[in-house]
Amino acid sequence: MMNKLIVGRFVPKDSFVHRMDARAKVLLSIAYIFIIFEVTNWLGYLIMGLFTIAVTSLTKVSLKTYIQGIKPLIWLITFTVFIQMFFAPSGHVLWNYWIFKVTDIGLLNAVYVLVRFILIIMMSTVLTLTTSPLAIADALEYLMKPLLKIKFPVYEVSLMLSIALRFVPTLMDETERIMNAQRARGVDFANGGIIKRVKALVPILIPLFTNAMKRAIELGDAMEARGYQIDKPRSRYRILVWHRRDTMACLVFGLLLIILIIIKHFI
Amino acid sequence: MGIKFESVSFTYQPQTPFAYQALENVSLEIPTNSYTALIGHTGSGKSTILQLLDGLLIPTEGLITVNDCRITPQTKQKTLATVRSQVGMVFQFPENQLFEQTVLADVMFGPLNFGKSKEAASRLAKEALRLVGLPDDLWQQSPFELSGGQMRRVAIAGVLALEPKILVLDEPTAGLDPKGRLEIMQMFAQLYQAKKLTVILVTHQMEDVLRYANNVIVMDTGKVVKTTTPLTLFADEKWLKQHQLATPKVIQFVQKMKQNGIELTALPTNVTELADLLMQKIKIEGDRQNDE
Repeated sequence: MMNKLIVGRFVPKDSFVHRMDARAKVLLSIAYIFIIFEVTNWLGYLIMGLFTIAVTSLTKVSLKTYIQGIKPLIWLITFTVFIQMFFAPSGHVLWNYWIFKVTDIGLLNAVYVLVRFILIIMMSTVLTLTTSPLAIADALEYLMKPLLKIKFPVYEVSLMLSIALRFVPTLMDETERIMNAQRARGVDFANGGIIKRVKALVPILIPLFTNAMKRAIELGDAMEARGYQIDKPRSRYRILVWHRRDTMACLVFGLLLIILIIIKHFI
Repeated sequence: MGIKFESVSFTYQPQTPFAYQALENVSLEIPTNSYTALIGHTGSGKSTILQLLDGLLIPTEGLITVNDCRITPQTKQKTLATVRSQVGMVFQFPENQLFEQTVLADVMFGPLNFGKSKEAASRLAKEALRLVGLPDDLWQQSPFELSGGQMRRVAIAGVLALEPKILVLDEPTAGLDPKGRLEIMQMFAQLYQAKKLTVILVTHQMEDVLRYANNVIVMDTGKVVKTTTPLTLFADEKWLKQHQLATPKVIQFVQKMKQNGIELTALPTNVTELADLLMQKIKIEGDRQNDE
């Protein structure tokens, strides 16, 4: 079940995108979300779509993997699209029932939302497939550094973040193991109504939480045993280096934004 | 009857960049009422086999028969409950599956899931707890207040309370002290005798393989490389070395003696047997010297 989740998993490979600086990738992924909201017409979406597919092909990971990455989120997407479709504020009414009404503008918005969703998921998948979780945490630490001025605990937060990311696969494996153990004792996760299924979660969640606690305590002990102290300046093992390809990627994104703005205002 | 794998292959996460083939065209047979040890190095596919024969995984290719249940790649999740009701699985570190408020309730959990009444489940649970030797003043306590060894016993009782005909043990004594290890393995051996079970044991302890099992399957990188009896397996020193498997201490002892010119009449499976064989030998030698 959990193995199907592609978003959030790292595929080590050697590609242009893999070699990029994690900071550049995080920044550009955020920029991408802002850029996509600048797009308001079909030509713009076409360019965005082609651009995104070009980026995915630069990662040397097959397009099929990205499509699989969209699948688990299909319900979220459908829900949002339907909300857009049925609750459009204005436009020419095409269909009407009780409080639902479908208008031409609503329909168009729904399709826009759908495309936006898919593109954003694909781009976020590019980030997580090509960047190790620890590199993302490092990048976020670096990007949060200005917050040190307002006494925000940047180092602690980034340490928490890297630990959390580090333990995601461990917890997933553990969940799978506990699920198997309880299934072997006759718990049925596949059948039954919603109440029965929610009840079936208790025998998973309690062992999972107790084990996570135990692990956290052990980790804390191990860190203290090696002299970890909060509030002390830290040296780092992995050093992020900004290369020319990162600047280039930023320039390409800038160019994309300019093209899209031109399309929006002049076509 | 029994358990049969016919050209079974299994791939984790097929058709993704993370695809990993754990089993490749595995055919094996585990006879009913045998005590089969499944050995091999980490990553050789032992755990995958266990999960397949309990219907926790579905084969990518091939056919698995467990008594009269057939599992093929087309089998639906919903029909696997029948397989699971016949197979009792003791996972690695089974104490991680405890969750109920009292020890007794946790052991009753399995029987209740498989449709037993409350009375029947409670009777089965008490029986199982007695079997694993957990003192009854602990039965109403929270399982999380027990020691590691006691938690292990509760978890094993939770599986035994299902009264499985096939008992699957995945390194059941890992992390226990020698005394606890011996007690638990003896308990399984008695149960095997008394209830005519089919036991499948995954272990790295060659001593246990020699002592308790009567059938061995050796796995290597997703394939079965040998099916034999423990004594034949451990007699073949060269083959063991080739596959980097350890030789049990008693066998090592016999081999050392052989190097020094003393040969025993049979191979022992445990220390007591070794002692008996040695006594025999001494007696024979003594008689011969007396005759001279």
